[in-house]
Amino acid sequence: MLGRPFGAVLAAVAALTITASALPALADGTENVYQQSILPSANTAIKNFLDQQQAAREKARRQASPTSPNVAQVPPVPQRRVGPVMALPGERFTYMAALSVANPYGNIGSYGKGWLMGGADLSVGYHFNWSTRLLVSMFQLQHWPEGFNSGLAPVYLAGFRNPVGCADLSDGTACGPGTGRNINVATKDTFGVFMLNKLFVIKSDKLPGPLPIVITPTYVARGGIIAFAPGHNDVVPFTYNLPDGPVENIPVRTAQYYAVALTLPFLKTPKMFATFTVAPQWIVHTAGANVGNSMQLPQVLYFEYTPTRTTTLFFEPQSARDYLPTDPYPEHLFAYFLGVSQRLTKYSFVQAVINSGGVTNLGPDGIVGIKCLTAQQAINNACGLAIGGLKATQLQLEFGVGSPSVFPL
Amino acid sequence: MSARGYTMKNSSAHIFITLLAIAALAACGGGGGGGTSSQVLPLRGSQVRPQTTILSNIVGVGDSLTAGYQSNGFLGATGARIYVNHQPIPVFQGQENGWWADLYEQASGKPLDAAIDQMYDPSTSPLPLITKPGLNNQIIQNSAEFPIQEQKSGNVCTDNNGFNEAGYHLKGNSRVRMNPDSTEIRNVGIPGLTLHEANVLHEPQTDTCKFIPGVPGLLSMVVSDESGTFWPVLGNFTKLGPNLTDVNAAASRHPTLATVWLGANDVLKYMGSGGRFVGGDRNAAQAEEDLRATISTLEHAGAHVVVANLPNILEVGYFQRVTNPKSFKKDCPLTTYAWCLINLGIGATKQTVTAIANRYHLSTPNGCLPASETKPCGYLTLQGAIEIITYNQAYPLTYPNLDCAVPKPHCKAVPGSGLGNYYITPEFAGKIQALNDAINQGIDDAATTSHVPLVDVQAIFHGLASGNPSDPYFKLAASINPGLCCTLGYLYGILSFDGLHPSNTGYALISYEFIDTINKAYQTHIPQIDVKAVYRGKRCNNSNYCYPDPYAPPNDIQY
Repeated sequence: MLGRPFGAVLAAVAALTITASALPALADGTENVYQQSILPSANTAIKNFLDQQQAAREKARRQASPTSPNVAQVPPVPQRRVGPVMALPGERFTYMAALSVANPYGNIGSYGKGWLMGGADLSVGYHFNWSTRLLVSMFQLQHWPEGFNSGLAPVYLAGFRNPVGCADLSDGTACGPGTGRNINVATKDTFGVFMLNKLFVIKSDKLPGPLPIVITPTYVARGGIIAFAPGHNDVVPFTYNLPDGPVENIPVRTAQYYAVALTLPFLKTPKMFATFTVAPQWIVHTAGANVGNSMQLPQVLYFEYTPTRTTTLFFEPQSARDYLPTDPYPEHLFAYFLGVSQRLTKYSFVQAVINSGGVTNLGPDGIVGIKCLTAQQAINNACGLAIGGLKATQLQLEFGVGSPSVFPL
Repeated sequence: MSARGYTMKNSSAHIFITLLAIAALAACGGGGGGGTSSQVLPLRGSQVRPQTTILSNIVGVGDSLTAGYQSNGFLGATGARIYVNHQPIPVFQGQENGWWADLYEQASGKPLDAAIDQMYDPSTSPLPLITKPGLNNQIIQNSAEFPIQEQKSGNVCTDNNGFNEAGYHLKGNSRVRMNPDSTEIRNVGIPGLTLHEANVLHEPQTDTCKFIPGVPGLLSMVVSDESGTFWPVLGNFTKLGPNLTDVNAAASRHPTLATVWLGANDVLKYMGSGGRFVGGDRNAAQAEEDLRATISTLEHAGAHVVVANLPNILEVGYFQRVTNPKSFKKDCPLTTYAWCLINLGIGATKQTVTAIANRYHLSTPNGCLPASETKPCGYLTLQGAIEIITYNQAYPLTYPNLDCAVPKPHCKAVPGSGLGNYYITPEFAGKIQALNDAINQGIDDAATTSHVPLVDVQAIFHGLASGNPSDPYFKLAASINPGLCCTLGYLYGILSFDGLHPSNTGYALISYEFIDTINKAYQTHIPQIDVKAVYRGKRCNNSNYCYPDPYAPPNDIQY
């Protein structure tokens, strides 16, 4: 366990950073990259290092202080293995595969109720040595964002400054007969993550012990499927800068990012573990409504509690950043993941995660306007959607083999 | 359906045509505010022709008023005619008779005959000349039965082998335009265009003349006009690519002087939809912002700019007051009363008009003030008055339910649905006037902050509407043919048959004010237009180009 002062300082700094930067929040994008890929691998490396250090200290202490039969003693706590490492022969390759389903919650109207389309997660890692590992993973997240099937949205027609009418997003008649609509906005995002974990150990007299940190250069490519997209992809008519912005068919869930994550621990006990991660991040190129590409600084806190050998509870609040083609500037998200993992057999597990988040620096969530270039577009559902913040809440259930994302690979 | 000559489509097509016309129209009307300016009409145009560089390249930005739209038709070709009962009825061209053409000719520095010849010549004309039979559905004279009728009596989209439909497509220009490949176009007035559209509309909002079912908010109606005339006007500016807008097209000519007259359709689309269409500019700030953007673009292109404000549309002949005049002969020429036209059509009594007014809550028993926001009047629209006439002719002794989509016996009425199309309640008239005033405030503010001269068209028409013999504008118009012409009452000389767009004489009066304003603001010496010559058709020697004003007594309708 890290020394108390050190851990407390780190926790305070982390909390302060989160507080100061977590003005907004949303949960359907890059925050999953941290939850699913970067953090688990970095945490695993740190945890393993700390466990090894702890084991070494215990061994040394036992050798230096032989047990006296007259002294009551707590038996040494066995070093917990969070889970079996699923590795191919040679143990340089590790893997995980899982299937998932999700159920959305929140202000999504009645149209979006029900289980979403299924998804899959895959992950393969290669260990070069004790401190270096390459990880390639793919995971999918299903969600139904809020504000797409509830409320009213102003409808603009090219040329006019003010809305020419409105649309009842719940398919009602609040805007008049024939003005209701429902959009099947069931979304499945697919992330491809390529990252290199490198563990460094910082030693100093001012530290109570060696401090492991993990630096993770990462490349993320994401895409998606939106149910109402004509091409069974994420290309949908989109508009921005109402009332005069263009209407374009663009892949609204597609983007690529570079990031360099720095993860360091601030709590370690036999049953608890916590880290803080900060990750300077850039998009590879601007697209759609993007107007710039300044460095973003997502921050993640991770708390883990393992009451038994096979059960892990975790909570992961984030001040994340999302920068999709629909965003003129990066979305500031406050998101959290609250979940439990249960190992079923040596090779299988089940995991349930509640994931929620929303934007704090953009306007209303969901559809904030609809723009039609022509009158015909209005009846063909080809008008562009202006998107405000994206907020989603879902319960995801995952069944897999190997190690779930919160377990070490 | 057709009765006694005035033919209009019924059912949805009827409404469609009506609202299209309304939406496309750029208003004319009189409005509050006194007037100054020109007091005396010259008997002849001035022969003084000094020229300055500011007049070397004039462009016009605007809507149907700048385009020279007239009598609900957009036509530049001469010699168009239709046959009714084997009798040829002329369809007069409006484009060359618009105020902008008048101004351009007067400022050309050429002899008038040569200047007018140039205006009509497709190879040299600055107008996007529309060939026969003309776009939209021009209202023409029909002396055989009811005095006016629409030129196209069938399906306006498919008549003449789809001439109107061709206007909705760029490739249709080869059919619609007399000069489809012209590089001389300088008048980019697009009928139906609004203030904001002038700056931002890149393409037509619909690609068909046909009614689009299922579109809420009358969208297909309110956008059809500018959509059907967008390519016919801007088809020669496609080189601008995605930057094509009406204002950018004008700026691309690098004008030395640009006239800007916009905003009428922001009011008319609201009016014609019964207040349901609220997409246009809604307040003075928006109008000012849009107009300033227009001015800025043109000034950056090197132009001196002159802008004009709007008349009060409720003072023009399209809006027919439901109070009754005391004397047909004395009052009908001065003010447009519904009874004047209905009595002309079917001999209806004043009590009939009063009963109709009461049925639709148009009456103002405590009196009203035209162009007032607080004490407004109720009106039948020209469309409503004509519907009453044609219905009564088809079903004698009965009157239509103006709240039916298709007025006919036992039709299903939705109370209030005729608002805007057939009638204007006093309450709604107050809202229309408020919007009219707001747009004018924005225009005035934009002119002031941009330091560009303003042509006070509102003052002209308000003066004409006043009927006050001492009003300079009224005196000016009444002196054209004393005792006979011209006044603002429907069919009395200032307006064409659609009740919104000016006659040749009315356009000449507007041109007169533009010339006066430009000369004063920019120290130019544009020879003044001879309004009487326009009225009499004596402005040039070519009788195909210059003929007595067909919309002014005694040449139009004999009451």
